[in-house]
Amino acid sequence: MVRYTKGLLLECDPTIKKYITKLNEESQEKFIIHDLGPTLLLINPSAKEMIQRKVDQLHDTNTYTKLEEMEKKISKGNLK
Amino acid sequence: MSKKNQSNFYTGISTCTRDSDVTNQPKIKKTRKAKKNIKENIKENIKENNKENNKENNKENNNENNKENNKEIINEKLKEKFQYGFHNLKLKQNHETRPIWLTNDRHIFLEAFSPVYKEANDFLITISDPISRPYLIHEFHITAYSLYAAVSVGLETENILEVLEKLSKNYIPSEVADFIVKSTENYGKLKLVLKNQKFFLETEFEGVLENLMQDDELRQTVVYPKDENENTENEQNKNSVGFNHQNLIKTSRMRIAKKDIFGNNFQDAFNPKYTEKNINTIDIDEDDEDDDDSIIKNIRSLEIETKKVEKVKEKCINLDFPALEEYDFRIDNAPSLNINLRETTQIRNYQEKCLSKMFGRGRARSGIIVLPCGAGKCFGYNTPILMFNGEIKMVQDIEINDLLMGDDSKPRRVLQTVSGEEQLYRINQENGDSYVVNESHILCLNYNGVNVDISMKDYFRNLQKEKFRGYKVPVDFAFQNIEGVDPYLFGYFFMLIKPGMIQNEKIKIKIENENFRNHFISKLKYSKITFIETNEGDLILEIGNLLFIKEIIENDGKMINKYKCNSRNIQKEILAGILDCVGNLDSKNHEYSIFFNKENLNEKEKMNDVIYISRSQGYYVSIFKNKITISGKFIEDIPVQKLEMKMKMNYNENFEGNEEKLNLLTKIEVEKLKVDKYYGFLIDRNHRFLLGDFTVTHNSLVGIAASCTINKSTLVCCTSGVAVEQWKNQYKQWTNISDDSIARFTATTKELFKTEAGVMITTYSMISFQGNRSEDSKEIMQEIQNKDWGLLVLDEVHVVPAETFRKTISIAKSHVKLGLTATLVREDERIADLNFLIGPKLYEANWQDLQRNGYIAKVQCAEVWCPMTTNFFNEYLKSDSVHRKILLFVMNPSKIQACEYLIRYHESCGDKILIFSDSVYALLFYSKKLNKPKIYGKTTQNERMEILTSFQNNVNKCIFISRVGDNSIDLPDANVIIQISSHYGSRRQEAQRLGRILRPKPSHDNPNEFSAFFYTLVSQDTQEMYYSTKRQQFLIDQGYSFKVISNLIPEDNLKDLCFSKKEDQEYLLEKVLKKADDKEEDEEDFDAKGLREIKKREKAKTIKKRKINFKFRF
Repeated sequence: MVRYTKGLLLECDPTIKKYITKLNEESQEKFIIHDLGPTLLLINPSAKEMIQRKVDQLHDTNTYTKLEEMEKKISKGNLK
Repeated sequence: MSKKNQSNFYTGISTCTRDSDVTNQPKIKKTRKAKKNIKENIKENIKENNKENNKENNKENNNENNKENNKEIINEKLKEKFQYGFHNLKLKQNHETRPIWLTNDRHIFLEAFSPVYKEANDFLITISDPISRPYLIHEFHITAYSLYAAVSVGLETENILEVLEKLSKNYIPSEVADFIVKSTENYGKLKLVLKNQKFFLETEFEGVLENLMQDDELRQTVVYPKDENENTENEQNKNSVGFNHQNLIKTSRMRIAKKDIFGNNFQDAFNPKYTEKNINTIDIDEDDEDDDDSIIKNIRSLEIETKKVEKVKEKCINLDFPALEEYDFRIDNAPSLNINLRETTQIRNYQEKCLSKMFGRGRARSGIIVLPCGAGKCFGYNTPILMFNGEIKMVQDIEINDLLMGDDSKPRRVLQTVSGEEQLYRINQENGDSYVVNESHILCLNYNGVNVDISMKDYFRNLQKEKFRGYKVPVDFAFQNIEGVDPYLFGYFFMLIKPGMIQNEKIKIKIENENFRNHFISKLKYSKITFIETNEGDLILEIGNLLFIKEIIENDGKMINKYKCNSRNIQKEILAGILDCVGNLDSKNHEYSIFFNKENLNEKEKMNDVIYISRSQGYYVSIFKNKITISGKFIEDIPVQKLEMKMKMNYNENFEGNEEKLNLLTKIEVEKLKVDKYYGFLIDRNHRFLLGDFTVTHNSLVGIAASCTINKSTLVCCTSGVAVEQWKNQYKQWTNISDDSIARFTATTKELFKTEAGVMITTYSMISFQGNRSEDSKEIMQEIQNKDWGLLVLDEVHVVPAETFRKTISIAKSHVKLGLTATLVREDERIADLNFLIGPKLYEANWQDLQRNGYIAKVQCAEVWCPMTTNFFNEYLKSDSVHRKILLFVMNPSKIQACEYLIRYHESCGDKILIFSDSVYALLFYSKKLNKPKIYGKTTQNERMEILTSFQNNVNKCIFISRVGDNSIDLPDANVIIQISSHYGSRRQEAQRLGRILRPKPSHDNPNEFSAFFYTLVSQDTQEMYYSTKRQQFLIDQGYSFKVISNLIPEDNLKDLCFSKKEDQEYLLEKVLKKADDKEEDEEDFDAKGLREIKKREKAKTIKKRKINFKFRF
């Protein structure tokens, strides 16, 4: 019998792919439908938002901005 | 402009210098659309999925909500900060011609390309703090401190406003004008004074102290007299608001002279008999004491607790009553130091600028000076210059990139040539050639045994001209291969062969002693020259068609460069041959002499070469009529054979009273010539400053000049024992300080100066040390504590921990504090505290200007992105420990490859490379894998020396260095730095490492090209990216831009590099993980503070989003 599943093709860096597979392992809802190669994944479209958010977070933690430093100061009350 | 945009614009200014951001975007492919009928079928499934997903999302959303709230609060605050925006700044009509923008929050943006840039910059640097100075737009900030500094150098409120109005494109916002008026009007009303170890707040104005006492915190700091009856009462009342603080304010009358000629009166003012308790009983008896030269003033003063001084200072500023900490050193009757800068000491113009800021209006004020520096020289037409290869070129023929010989026998590359017309002088040396220089030329002379740099102008101003001597130094030429020619024999034949000789001529050589005979015969045999021995023992030989003999004959008396400019040993051999052939010995005077015929051109040429060789050996050569005498230190080293003169001499005996001979000094005479053309060049390193550390040497001159100006006891604090020695040497070199008044206090040397006032040089750790001290240490500490120091010089303020700093300052009480540094950044967010601890930033050099003027090298900074391999990234994601994560991204195989690639590339260019790694494990691994020497904490001193020397001599071109290289080691010159791991986000470390390649160097083709490279290797998608950007901030503010290199290694080169195979990578991973599991973490690697920082970082929230590296498509 033939089964159809709606899928979303995701292409990304190998490292980001690693990160997404890790998300998949951790989450209870497995969203990866098929691993298509080092840079390609077929995923469940519903997970799109979540993945996007998580990857953004990853990038944010690895990105330094001056504004951020200012915030830190404000939250400490150092900035007049 | 909307508010959000404003803030972006705001930060954009300092971040826009990054050349490119995300360059390595993954490609996006379109996926095929799912077929419609499939869609229908799975619709229901999706619906269910969505429901569950929503539940999960809700949970997350709750967490997110909290975060959102925080974000909102922060946004509110940001809005507050940027409430003014720029929309209300009204432009003036002719704004195009004006160079600056002045915003409501007192930031100034200066167009660096404006024609009036220079003037505007000079003004802004006086009234405001530079924040960021990239290529085109400079940012400044007007702060209360910067304004005090401005007012204290003589600018008045109206001046400041007037000039700002002139420069500004927009009308000055009223808030800014108010701020300037408010900050400057109270300036000078309140003083903080140190007297007999106690601190007082002083004022001439009524009501000021009373006003201040309204503040609860300030009231706490007041010292209460203990000997009074109401003592207990005071204690009780201390905290109550209604406490009558007025009783404590002492009012005293004092005379203030219109001239600076009194001294004693000043002190008398604090004599108890003048002190009155009640503030209301002020009466000025003008008739009584007023005479022509003085007026009477009532000084109210209040003693405050020594420990709380900095708090008081901070508080006073917040209350808009900045406590003035000026020191009128001329009227202080503390014992004077009586030292002066030597007349020969040259202060560079920017050093002068910062000193003028420190001593504006004839008073000294505390502050910090941020500086680094270089050299220029000019000669008259036809002055011969010694090139590195031994040739002599006339000054006008010198071109950019020529190599000159430095006095340390190392090459100097010409960076720039200049010419012009100026008054010229001829310097006639009693012994040596004369040369012509221009008026502003800097002469290198010897003054009382010290080598000094002095400009011609200063030389004429100097009264003790006759004490100056020219000096010469021996020169080392590089070894040149002279292919089987025996240098001794060459020297012999050089003198032997007379013009007109032909190659097959037979020569008879008289042999006088056995020693010479044996030596000579062995040399002849070696050179395959046939000879016959006569019955008398003389030699008859035939000069065959040997190449070197041919050369001598053909060159008509001139010695070919490859012999003349060769290594010292070869030169000595040649000289020995020459002396054995024609020399005479004067064993009484320890001299060799050679007679020659002046008229004979050929002989004259030969003699020039003999003189050249002898001088380059460092011998003292004098020419008198037709006689050359050679003498001096190590004359016995010439391996002569014939003349029995293995001179053994005692220098002290033989050269007593003749230091000129011993030290190669010569009397000079200056002759004024006409104004004429001169030619000059800028060379890449000034020999004077080669010895010490680049920045330390120059900064120290500022400190020394300051202590000479104040002329009171000075305490110098530096970071290490080595620096203490350097400071002492600098003092001796630049000033006329006597040995008795300079003392060192270190772990090994404990001295006290013997004079009443003096200079004490010590380290921060010696002063702040808390353990048990030895007896003599205690005594010295006592001395330090009990003295009112005139000046406290704090070297390298940026490296000292805040606490050590506080202790140092509280122990050593001083009138004026001067902080010196090359990089004013601290990671502990205590940089602002320096304002209270030391004082405002008085001067900060502009790096880009220094670079443009060739004082520092032009550096290309680059961030190299190394993708994490999937396996490493997997482990990185899995690991929770920070330590493990760090190890993983430092040991990332693509990083090792990148490192190897860069080393190979730069080695092939002949560059010298320093590789920094904070992680000791990585350091050891990399250096082993790439087979390069390393220096880290455990490397012994001997090994270090060996490695550093071989690096200096180009034997190896690459060293791995751990954190020990950041400060403590004096690293040799290099022009490439590769960072493989660093201390989190330490901007200071970054700046310091960059400093290692800042010494100006010649570039290969063009002085405007980059001559130094600074690479940081970063593992992509890891924390390292964050720290790397953070570390760059300081340098970006100094106008450097960082280039991002995302594809460093070309595909074809990849397989030649290490770890190109998957198996190797896996093996490495195993090793790294094993290391990470080792609980015994190297203390050296990561300290507790850093760990705290990284944890903080993990919690931190983010607002600004990065470009996303991937996209979805249906």
